[in-house]
Amino acid sequence: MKKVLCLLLSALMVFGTMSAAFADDEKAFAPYEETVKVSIGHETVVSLELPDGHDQENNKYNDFLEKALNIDITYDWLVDLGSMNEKVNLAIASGEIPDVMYVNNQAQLKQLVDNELIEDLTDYMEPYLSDALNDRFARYGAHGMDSVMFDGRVMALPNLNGGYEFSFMWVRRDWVEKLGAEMPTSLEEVVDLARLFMEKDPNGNGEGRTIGIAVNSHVAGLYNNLGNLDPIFGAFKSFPRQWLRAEDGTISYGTLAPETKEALGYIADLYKEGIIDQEFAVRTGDDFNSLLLSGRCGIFFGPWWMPDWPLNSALANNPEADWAPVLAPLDDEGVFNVYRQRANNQWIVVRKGYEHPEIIFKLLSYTLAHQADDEVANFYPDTSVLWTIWPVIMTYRDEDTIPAEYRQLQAALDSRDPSGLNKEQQNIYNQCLVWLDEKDPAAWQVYTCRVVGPEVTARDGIVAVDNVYPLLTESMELKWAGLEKLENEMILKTIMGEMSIDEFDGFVEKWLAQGGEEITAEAAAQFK
Amino acid sequence: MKKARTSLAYHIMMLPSMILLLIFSILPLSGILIAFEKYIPAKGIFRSKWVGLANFEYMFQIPDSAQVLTNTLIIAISKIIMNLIVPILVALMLNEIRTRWFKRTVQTVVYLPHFMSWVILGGILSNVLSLDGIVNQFIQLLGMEPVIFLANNKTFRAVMIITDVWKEFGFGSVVYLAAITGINANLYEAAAIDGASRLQRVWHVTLPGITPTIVLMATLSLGNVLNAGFEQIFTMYNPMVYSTGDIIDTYVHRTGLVNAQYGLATAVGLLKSLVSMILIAGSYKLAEVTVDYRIF
Repeated sequence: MKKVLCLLLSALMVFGTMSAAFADDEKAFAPYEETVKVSIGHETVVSLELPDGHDQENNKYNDFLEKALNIDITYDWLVDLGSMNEKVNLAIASGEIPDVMYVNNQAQLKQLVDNELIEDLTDYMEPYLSDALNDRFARYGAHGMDSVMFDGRVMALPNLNGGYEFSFMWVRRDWVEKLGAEMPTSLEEVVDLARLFMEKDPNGNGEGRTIGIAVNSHVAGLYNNLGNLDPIFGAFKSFPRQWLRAEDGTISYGTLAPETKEALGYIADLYKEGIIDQEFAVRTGDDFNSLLLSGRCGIFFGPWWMPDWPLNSALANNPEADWAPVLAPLDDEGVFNVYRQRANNQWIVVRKGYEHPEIIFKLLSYTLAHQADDEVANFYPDTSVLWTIWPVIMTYRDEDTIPAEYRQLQAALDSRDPSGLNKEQQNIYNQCLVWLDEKDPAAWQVYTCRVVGPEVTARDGIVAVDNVYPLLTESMELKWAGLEKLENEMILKTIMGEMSIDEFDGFVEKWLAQGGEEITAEAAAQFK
Repeated sequence: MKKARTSLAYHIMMLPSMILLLIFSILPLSGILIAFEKYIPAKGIFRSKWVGLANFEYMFQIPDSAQVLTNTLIIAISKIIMNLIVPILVALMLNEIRTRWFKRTVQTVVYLPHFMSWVILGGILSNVLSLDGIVNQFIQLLGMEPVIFLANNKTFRAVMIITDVWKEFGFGSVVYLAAITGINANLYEAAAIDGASRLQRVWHVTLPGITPTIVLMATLSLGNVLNAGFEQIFTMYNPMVYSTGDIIDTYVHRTGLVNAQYGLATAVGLLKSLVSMILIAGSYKLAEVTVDYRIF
């Protein structure tokens, strides 16, 4: 049961808890009178450990959903995470899209609209959007639906990203203690600690085998992702890949800022010294995770949910691996600088001409309302299969869900009184007690993920820069890919020392000349 | 009349392949129009907005184009040359081996990689060439600094060329071995009687004997002068080595399939076809003039 609970909880962390006041939304939950067929195009997250005879299409969850809503679900296609963009492009090019399709990219959403491939959902919003979802959008404020409005019409159903999912430092506390060091706060202290780990080799990896700081090849600017160097850039007040709004309202691109040059120069020195993983440019996600889990590296940067993944198996690999979050590195003024999330980064669309566009509201509302049911959690006990088989699911969070829920939970734990918590949080509360009172390793994940990690996001001294997310502009369609290539190359080459930091100014000129100037002007016009 | 009837049978035999050629190569030529349009798939080739040479203008404006073309030419031409020389050398050496089982075994083993897909080999090679990989361990044994081969612009092209030759030389050498078997044994005997050493026999009998095959293979391979090996590079490259490893095909893949800029991707593809056509026509002419070898 414990294991099932853990998995259940991780699902809640991914999608956000929903209040249970659904009783009045008859239309959103009413089953169809006659069976309705729907085909879906979606990405799948992990290889599934389903029993024989069960697969993505035929499984207990789909039966549950099909019975409740009187529908028949099939998959047109399911692709691996990461192949989604290409698959959707092919679908657009061929003009054949599934009845219900996921889109992970704003440019593609625009193409689907331009190509007249998707249904206008405006008229379905009011009758079918469940109260709970409606509240979510209302609370999020003006920008919650910006990305799906085309000429005043709603063309897709977006998700809502929570805020406070910026990266901070995660460190092997057991190594820090073993070496008698202190938890770092400033950038120098972070780097010194990495140096110490490499010299003293607390894991016994052998000389030169310990990596100071693990990084992935994206380096920076991908929100809510692990393995970046965002906090180091933040310590220089640099925000690569972000559109920044100055106090006078002017818009500029963060990669071009002089602060970025300074930060890149610093990071290039770290690379040269060997502190940054020498092979970061060629590491895949699995490679990166294995560095952390095998004890080859004791420092990386990631958001609050790291204990859920990839650190969930850290304890199983090594009972001493004590990963802990630290709000570091701070800048000269003792401030931790972050940038804000994009409101939407995933959309569900309906094929133009499909007879029942309202089906996405039903599927989504029903799934969200029942995500914490014991029945749902126990469909495949003793496996990690849970939301990966749910045909339609998206994240819905308030901007401050993460710190707010942490504060509630912490208050309940302090007073040992869970009465103010909703059902989902009470489950979490019970797991936290198991960890606090019995130190049962199986409960480490939940406690660290729901209390220790989010606690960092609720601290003072975190300052978010005023960054904006412009919608796709006309010049972006043709020129953004080229600019991105230029930018990626510059960042990687500068860090790896193949390009000297003096060439940075040349990059800025080139970037502006190859369409960056036009795009900046077009983006700025959106925020007038 | 008689001649027409016999050739009719041949023409009928050729018909299926002509139909295939029509369907898969001639008809899709209309897709070239995409290069001159702001192409929107739903509107199709004939209703998308005509933008004239805008895609080509942008293509020549970005420095990527020149870089991508240079990369393609360097990688492809090196591969063509190496894939010609190495199999010949291997075939000549194998031919001198007396022990049959050994010859056969070597032949089979070097032939094997040809059957593996780049997707698998890409994974294996990434591991072998990593900092902890066997190659770097050897380099360190010799007291030299390790190299991140796949993220280093100095080594990336060489790695692509060497691994491609390694994968294909077994296949190529089989062709030359077959050609060597076709050489009249009397020539060797005559040469031996005239006192030619083994090396002289190779130089004066074997090599001239397989020259037509070499020219044939060389001419045919020139068709690949702008095919630097999409699958291979795609499975092993990364943004760090774009400046030496990004070839036309990977560029078209990124702009066309990943970023859905069909117009630009088609323009780049069209440029590739154009350059290929000129080079191939030139090389066929060259083959005709120099060794009197005709394909048409």
